[in-house]
This record gives sequence, structure tokens and C-alpha cells, in this order.
Amino acid sequence: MTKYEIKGTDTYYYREMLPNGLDIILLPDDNDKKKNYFINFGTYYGALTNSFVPYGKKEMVDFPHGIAHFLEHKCFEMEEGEIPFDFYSKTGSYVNAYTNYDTTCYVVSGSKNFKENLEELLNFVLSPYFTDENVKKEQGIITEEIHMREDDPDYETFYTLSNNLYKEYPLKYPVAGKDYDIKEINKELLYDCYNTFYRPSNMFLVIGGVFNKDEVIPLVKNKLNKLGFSEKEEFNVKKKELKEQLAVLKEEETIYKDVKLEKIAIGYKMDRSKFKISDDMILDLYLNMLLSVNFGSTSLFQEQVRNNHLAINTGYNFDKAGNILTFLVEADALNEEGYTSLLDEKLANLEVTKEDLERIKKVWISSEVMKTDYKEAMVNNIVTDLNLYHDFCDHYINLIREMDIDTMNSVIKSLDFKNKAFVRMISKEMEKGE
Amino acid sequence: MQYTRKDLGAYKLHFIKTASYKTITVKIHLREKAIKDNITKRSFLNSMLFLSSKDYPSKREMTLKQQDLYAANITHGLRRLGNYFDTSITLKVLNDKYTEEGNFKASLSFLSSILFRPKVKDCAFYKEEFDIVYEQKKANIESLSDDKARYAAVRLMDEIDKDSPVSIRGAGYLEDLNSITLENLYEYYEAMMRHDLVDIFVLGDVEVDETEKMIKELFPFDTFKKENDDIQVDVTPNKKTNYIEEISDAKQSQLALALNLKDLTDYERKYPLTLYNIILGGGDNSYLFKEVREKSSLAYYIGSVPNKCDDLILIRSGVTPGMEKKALDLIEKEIKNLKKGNFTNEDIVKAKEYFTTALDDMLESPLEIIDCYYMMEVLGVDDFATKREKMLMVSKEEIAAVANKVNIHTIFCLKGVNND
Repeated sequence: MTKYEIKGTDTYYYREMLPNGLDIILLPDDNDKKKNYFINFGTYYGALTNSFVPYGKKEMVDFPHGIAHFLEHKCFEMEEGEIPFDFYSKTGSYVNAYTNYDTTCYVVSGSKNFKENLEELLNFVLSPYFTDENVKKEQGIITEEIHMREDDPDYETFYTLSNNLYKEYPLKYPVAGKDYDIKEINKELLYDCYNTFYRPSNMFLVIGGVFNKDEVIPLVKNKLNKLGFSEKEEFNVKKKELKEQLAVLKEEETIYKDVKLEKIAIGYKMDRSKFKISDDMILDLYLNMLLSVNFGSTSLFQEQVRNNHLAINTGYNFDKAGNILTFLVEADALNEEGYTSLLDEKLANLEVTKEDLERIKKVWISSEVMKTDYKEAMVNNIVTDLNLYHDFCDHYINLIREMDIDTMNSVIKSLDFKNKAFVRMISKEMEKGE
Repeated sequence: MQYTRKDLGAYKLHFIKTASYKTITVKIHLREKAIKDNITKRSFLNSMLFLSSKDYPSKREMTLKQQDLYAANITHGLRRLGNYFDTSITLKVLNDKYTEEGNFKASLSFLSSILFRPKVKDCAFYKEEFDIVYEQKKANIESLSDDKARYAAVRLMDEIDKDSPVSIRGAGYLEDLNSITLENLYEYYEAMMRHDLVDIFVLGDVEVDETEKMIKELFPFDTFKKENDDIQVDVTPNKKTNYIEEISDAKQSQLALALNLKDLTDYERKYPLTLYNIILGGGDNSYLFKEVREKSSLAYYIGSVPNKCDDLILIRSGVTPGMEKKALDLIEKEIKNLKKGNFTNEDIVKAKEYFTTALDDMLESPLEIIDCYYMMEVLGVDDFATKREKMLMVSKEEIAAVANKVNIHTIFCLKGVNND
């Protein structure tokens, strides 16, 4: 177990890779007034990976959309003994899970029974038990989860945009799939996915908060040995190569719904290889700097949007789809035309001055220090890094300090807003009126 | 953690001294009697104050100043606490040890400027900011039904008791919005600063005497306040459950139920009620979760929360269209079962563990710690240690007694009919 510093924050962590390939990161808190711990046990398998050759098989299989998320629900089933909800409720501990495009993560937190709770987490995630009956039961629950999201106008607008932006890339589909996708899921398909991705060499364990760091490695090794994962098995999953075209699939769409407030979502696809920075982590820092200065609450753009009552609840961010970088805008439009023309003008004149850059650097460095007060947030940050970059950065403060205006300007020059898709959701009344 | 409280006449000043955080948290609470006619104005004023001030005449300049103060974070909120409206303003800033000498004082001074030096002229706010907030509030009020779950929750509260503060909508009302003017908003601001009950909390590694001096200098609330009235709301009980149904264009139906608790004692409200709620619908191990979700697959989410100041428990769930009746029957069945005492000692032990774990969790969050002391101040709840001790002593009979005070008061069902 090696000790490292999270640079510039007075905080330390430990990292070890087990012989079976499990990546363990520990962030113990030495504050004797605190009690809580946060555990995140995850696999590099999410909704992006839908076509691959399953473990032990020879042929490429296309799985139904939403299967990684379905599998997450089903990992809570046990063949014998208590189900996880019952086990953790005995000590008032918290257990949950989530799936995104890149990972599936199982989380446990609490203030009691650390060792038992950690052991049970490894146990239930790595002891699959899928039956026709328990798969059927879950279809009802997940259908409600999907319908709940689809009744949310923001979500529906965003997913219509994703569907119109991408031709092949799985960001096109919601993580949980559609109600008709999950009807296709059965226990055999679940076992195929499970056996391929739920192996220590494809997984990580991150723990923060109050616990005895020296107990973790022996406990995990011992438990994984019992579950049959002592050695690393050389096995590389053959996945279907994901390619995505630069052109959008559909440039404009209007959805008529039972809403009072107009929702808009806009996406711009650009070529990742046009950017000189090859490191995704560093490129993301510059892109976030760009967003903060040009669209944040200190920007003149935001002030104009506000003062002219153009839009509320606006959001701006970048996403990556393999070789494609996407800029996404979401807003509740009060004046669609006014807002979009101002946005077009802004996109043609993006700027970051040296003063802006230095000011935001100071803000970000302060935030990095503030974050270390909260071990739960730290665990979440590490997992986000693993999810985005398959690695964890312990020197953000240094990377931020090193940011310079010339690189910023070269990033701005590489941006391209030609390939655009636009979706609006407006009231059904407007449809009748047309 | 060292707690001290001072009654300064115009406000109460609370210090929670702890070295556990790199940040200092300052929270100001202002509260007044909940009157329906005031909610829209109060929410409007909150947004106005944080949009501009005399010293920082635009949101942009305010944010630039916050960045300059090493990312000092300021948030504001407004909630109803029983018979009161409770406005809160929170400042979170890094301790000077991590920034520079004087940064904390400069941050306090910035907060003071927002609260005490609003951007006004001739006893009226400026039209430019007024119109921005007006448009935002209007959009917010008008789009209530866009979010089905939120709509169902608000409509439930509307229907419980139209004359009670429980029915007041936090987002406000369109008619009231249209009667707010630049002048009467300023009048309301003045009245709030003069008459509201005020509590100021400071949590962090600070020198108490020195900070007290700064607060006294920067927050010159100067009118003496009388003690507050009872915060507890009494909802008029009904003999028969009130059932309201509406149709909406949605793939899922929303159920919202209000259970009222009749003749609850102060002790029951503080202790057995908490455990009763955890057992009924408080988590992944509750009876509602197990029956409605896990066994019957009717819902993805179902849960209950107590509204202690209103003597209510609220249950919310999103269920499969066509299955509303079945879900309601299951909910009713579980409520009856608990009345009969059909729950085990193991359920109680688990509920107590759930509570103590949640308490440990609260003890690590500056905002939760402040909220706990604030509740001690306004509701007279016990401190952390007493809470833990007394909760562990609650008996099965006491929980069953609370179960028998529960009645389903009102049900709001938003039936999903999808026309796609």
C-alpha cells in the first residue's frame, strides 16, 4: 500500500493494485470527532458497452439497451441469506447503486460495522443470482423508473436531442433504456454481461472517511479468495468499435407536450482531434474555464440573458463521444429567438482574458481545498475521475496553476459550432394553434 | 464542538466552535408569522436581495466579489416551518488560515452589504431588477404542473385545509405577484428587517469574542423582539378521507397522501413518531417500500416523511397507471397493520439504528449541525446526546400508540393518461 498526497491540500491517500487486478484507493480521515465512512465498489461497465463478445463465448452479441442498469438492480438478489437491504438496515447503514454510461457503482455508507459492511458489499455484488421470476419482477419496477424520467420535460427534451445528435454512439439511448428494451432482457443475457465485466481486474474500490486503513487489504483479499478471485485472469473483452460521424442526424425537432414553459436543448458536434491537447483531463480543465468565463454568472452573456428576460435555468457543458466532442446547451426559454441569436453571437466571439483565467484559477484552487472537508465528496470525485479517465488525478491544483492563456486561446481556435442539432418542447396548445 | 448562545435582544447569536472544518459557515434566519398574502412577496424579496445591492449593483459584480473572496459561497432559502415563514441566508468561506488575513471579515462585510444596503432609491427598488425577478417568478408559478410529482405534492397541500398555513404554496401566487410594486416591496423589506425574529449562527474554528464584535458591527438589527408564538399548526381533522383526483398527460400516476396525527403529545412528536415513520415508509427497509415496490412491482419510488410542525406524515409515490387503487389499498393495509401492532422488535431495533446512523451523519455536516441548534431554539427539541439517549428508550407500546393516532386525511391522485 503506497501513501500519496493530494497535492496542495494537506490530505493523503493510499493506493494498491491487488494480484487479481482490483484497484483500491483509500482516503482515511484522522479526525477523531467523525464517524462516517463511504465505500464505492464499481465496475467499468455502463450503458456505452452494448455490443461485445461475452466471456466464454465466440460471437459478438448485441444486447438490449438498458441491460447494464438492469443488471445493477438484479445484483441485489441473493440465492441464500439476507438481501442487502435487510442486511444493511440492521445497522442503519445505507446501500445503493447507480449506473451511467461508463460505470456501474455500488455504494455503502454508515458509521457502524465497517468491516462487516465492506465484506457484505463484496459478497452481494460478486454473488449473482438471476431467475426468470426475479427478472420479471424487476421489469415492473424499472418500467416505472423509466416512465418517471420520461414524464420529466427536461429529461425528454435532452434525450430527444441526444437521439438526434448521434447516429451510432450509445449516448443516443437513455442509460436505463426504453420500456420495450427491457422486455427483451432475460437471465441468460444478464449472466453473459455479469461474467464479462464483474471481475476484479475490471473493478475498483474507493473508501473514504473513518475506518482502519490497515484492515482493508487483508479483508478484501481474503473475501475475494473465497469468492474464487485470487489470481488475475488474462481476458480482454472484445467490444464493438464505436464510431461516430461529425454530422448530426436531425437538425431540428419540435416536441408538443403538456408544458407551460418552453424547453430547449442544443448540441454542437466537433472533431476531438482538432485540439492540440491530447490529455482529456487537461482539455476538460480548459473547456470548463471557457464555460465559466463565457457562460458563468460573472459573464456579460449571462447578464444579457437575465436583463433581457431571454431564458432561465440555463446549463452549458461538454460531453465526449469517442472522437467527437459535443457542446450542450439546455434552457427554459422565455424568448427563444432572442436567446438563440445572442447565443450564436456569443459562440462566434468566445474570449478568455488573462485576468479572467487567473481569477477563476484562484476560485478553483480554493474549491479544491474546501472539498477536502468532505470525504464523501472526495470519494465521489475520485470515482468521477475513474469514470471519465480510468485514472484518478491527485494534482489538480498543480494542473490548475499551470494553465496558461496561450493554450486557452488555442483551445478556443479549435472549437467549431457548425454541426448543430436543436430541439424545443412547447405546449400542446401551440400545436392546435398552428 | 463548543456551543454558546447569546440573547442580544434584537437577535440571538449562536456560536458552534469546532476545528473539524477548513471552512466557516455563517447562517442567518429571519422568520415571521406565515400569512398567505405575504408568501409571494417574501419569495420575491429574497431573489431581489441576491440579484444586486448598492455596493454591488449587478449579479455579475456580486459574483466577481465572491470569487475575489476565495470562492465565498452565499445561498438563500425560504421555507414554511409550521406557523412561520423562515428565510435563511448562508455564507460558507474558507478560514483565513487557508486564504489571507481578513478574508473572513471581508466576507461578512459583503454579506452585510447584501442584507443591509439593498439597491433602492426613494424608498423603492429599481425596475430593471424587479422585472427580471418578476419574469422568473411568473414562469415558476405558471409551470408548476410541468413537474408532475411536484404538482401532486403541492395540490395535496392545497386540499388538506384551505384555511391553514399548510395550504400556502411556497412558489407563491400569480394574483399576488401582480400586486407587488417597487414601493410596497421596499416597505415589506423594511418591515422584515425591523420585525422578523432573527437568529445568527457561526460555525467553525473562530475566536468567539472577536467574531461577536464583527457581527455586532456588521449586522445592526436594532429592534427588540418579543417572544414568538406557538409554531405548531393544527390541521382541522376530517371524519372521512378527502379524495381528489385529476387527470394528466403522463406515463405514470402520482399519489400523494397526507396522514394527520391527532392529539399527539410533545414527547410523541419528538420520539415515537420518528420511529413510526421510519418503519412505515422511511427507507429501503420500510413496509411501504417492501409491499408496494419489492413485492408488487407497482412503483419505483415510495416513501414517507413526517412534517412535525404540522402533525402530518406525507407519503409520495409514482405508480403504474391503472394500479392506483391497488397501491392505495396496500398503503392503507400497512397503516392498519401498524395500528394493530403488527411490527416486530427487530423492526424497532432497525429503526433506532437508522436514526442513530442518520444522527452521526448530521453531526458531520455544518449545515445540519446549525439546523439542529436552530430547531432547539424554535421548536425546543433536545440536543444531540439527549436525542440519541431518549430515542433508544422508546418502547413498542409507544410506537403503537402513535400508530393509533394516524388517520388518512387527504389523498391526491394525479392519474396518468398518455396520449402519445
